[in-house]
Amino acid sequence: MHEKSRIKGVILAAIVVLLVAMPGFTKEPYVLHILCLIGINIILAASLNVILNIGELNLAQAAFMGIGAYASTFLVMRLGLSFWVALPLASVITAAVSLLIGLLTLRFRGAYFLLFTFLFAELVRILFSNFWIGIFGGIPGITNIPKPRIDLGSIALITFDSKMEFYYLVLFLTMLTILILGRIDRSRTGMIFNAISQSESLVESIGISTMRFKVLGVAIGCFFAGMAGSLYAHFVGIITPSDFAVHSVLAPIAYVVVGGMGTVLGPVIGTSFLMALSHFFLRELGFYELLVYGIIIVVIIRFMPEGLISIPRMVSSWFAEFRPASR
Amino acid sequence: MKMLETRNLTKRFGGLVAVNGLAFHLEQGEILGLIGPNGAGKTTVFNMITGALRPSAGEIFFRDGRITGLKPNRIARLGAVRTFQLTNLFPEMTVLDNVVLGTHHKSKIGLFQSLAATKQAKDCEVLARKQARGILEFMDLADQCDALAKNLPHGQQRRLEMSIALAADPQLLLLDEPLQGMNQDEVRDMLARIEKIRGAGRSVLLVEHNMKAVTNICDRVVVLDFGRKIAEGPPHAVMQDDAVIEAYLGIEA
Repeated sequence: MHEKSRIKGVILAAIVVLLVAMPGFTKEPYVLHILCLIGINIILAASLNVILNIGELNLAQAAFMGIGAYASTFLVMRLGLSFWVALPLASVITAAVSLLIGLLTLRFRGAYFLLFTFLFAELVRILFSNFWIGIFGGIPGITNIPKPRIDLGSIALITFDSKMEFYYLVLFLTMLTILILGRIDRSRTGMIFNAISQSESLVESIGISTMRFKVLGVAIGCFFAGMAGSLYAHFVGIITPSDFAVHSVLAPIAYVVVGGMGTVLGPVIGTSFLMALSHFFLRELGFYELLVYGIIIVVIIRFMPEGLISIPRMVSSWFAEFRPASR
Repeated sequence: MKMLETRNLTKRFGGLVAVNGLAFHLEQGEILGLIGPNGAGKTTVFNMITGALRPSAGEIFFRDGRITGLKPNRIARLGAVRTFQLTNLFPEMTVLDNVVLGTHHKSKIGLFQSLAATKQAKDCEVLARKQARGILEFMDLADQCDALAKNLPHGQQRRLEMSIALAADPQLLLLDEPLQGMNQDEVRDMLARIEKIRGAGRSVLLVEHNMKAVTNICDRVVVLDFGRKIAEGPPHAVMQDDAVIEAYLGIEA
């Protein structure tokens, strides 16, 4: 067991070193661009997974990302705040909105919660498309969102114009997200989230308010969704309401399921695998790209219901099966 | 001292009156059996006491405080902890973690301390594990600490459920048909444990339809039929009661 966790640590450290050194291997803007998008989507998928951990699927996860994106651009472009203030503030705003929505909807479970979040996602899209067009920009959305910059006066001025600077920003925030969510997962709070998804009635019967923890779970999840939204807005530079419509949550759901639901690293693996697959390898297939992509997802779900993260366990159980025969 | 008391407790489901004007009480340190044929309303009473159902009328008092209509988690924190008729545990967790969660509401781990993993939170975690181990030893499950709950045999799962409830440190333990699906040996073993739990100063409300099994350990029984109390008193006297015999066996020809 001890040796296993050491191997895991070494592998993770190697991956981190590789990612940090990545721009040394390739200066290709397209590759760095995709890597940034993968990072942002990892944060979104991980945030979705937090809520899946309490046993609910939030179809408005992309809408909450949208709230973060719009809040962040508003703070930067209208109020003139620095991106470095707007990013955490937008995340907090998103979490606060989700707290209200959570208090209203979390008394409903399963399909009812799903429907409420579906409607909320539509509501957010309609709000951004048709209301306060002067602020939200209507259906065309908001363009020319400024890139972040670090201005230290005469000492240094770093603008995040090139893909490389943004790559390091995304890498840092993605790792920070995973570290924080990993810590929560191992804490007593994470244990209770997990327990709620296994038996809500039992959690309630031992004196723990399930409502309180479910609202907390949704708020934590949406905090990171908001962060992903803020990053996305300032990375791409253009946001439109349809970027965050209800269909936008389908891809992150696939990432989480393919990677491994309810695990911290599952969303990371699933997002990296599927996005790298579609952007780097399936591109050449043209017309057939989506077909092959879909088939791969179906095959993985059919043969690895616990996701890609279960591969090491599957492999070691095969070996365990073969060992007695070889003796 | 009265541990639990219901007054005029009534539950209607549409036109059906499942429980009708029920009044009974439970003394501190007592084992009270709530018995009756299938469909008598026992589980409905149980669910109202534990907060899973809201009564249509009537009051419930626990240690002099009114608990009518409170949320289940609130009632559990006041010290009335239940088990479930159908097996209900955290299947994907270890046996030890199941019981550790039972101790949670008594622990002093705040939300943010837990997230920040402060030293105090770590100390609480160590203490919780120690308490959980103690309870598992009491229930003879200590050797299964690291097993996943779902992998235990049925009899041990029922013991684990009771361990989880005990971990929440109840004044009153409410057991919903704890003998269901058990063989003779397991029944005897479970009854001895319930007796031991009472010995530790706790009161027990036992819902059961198997009347014979509970006569030996209950101080008193309350018999329900069609939502009404038809008899109350020491088990052997109640067993001789005409109304009870009629309810269980039908009218004598």
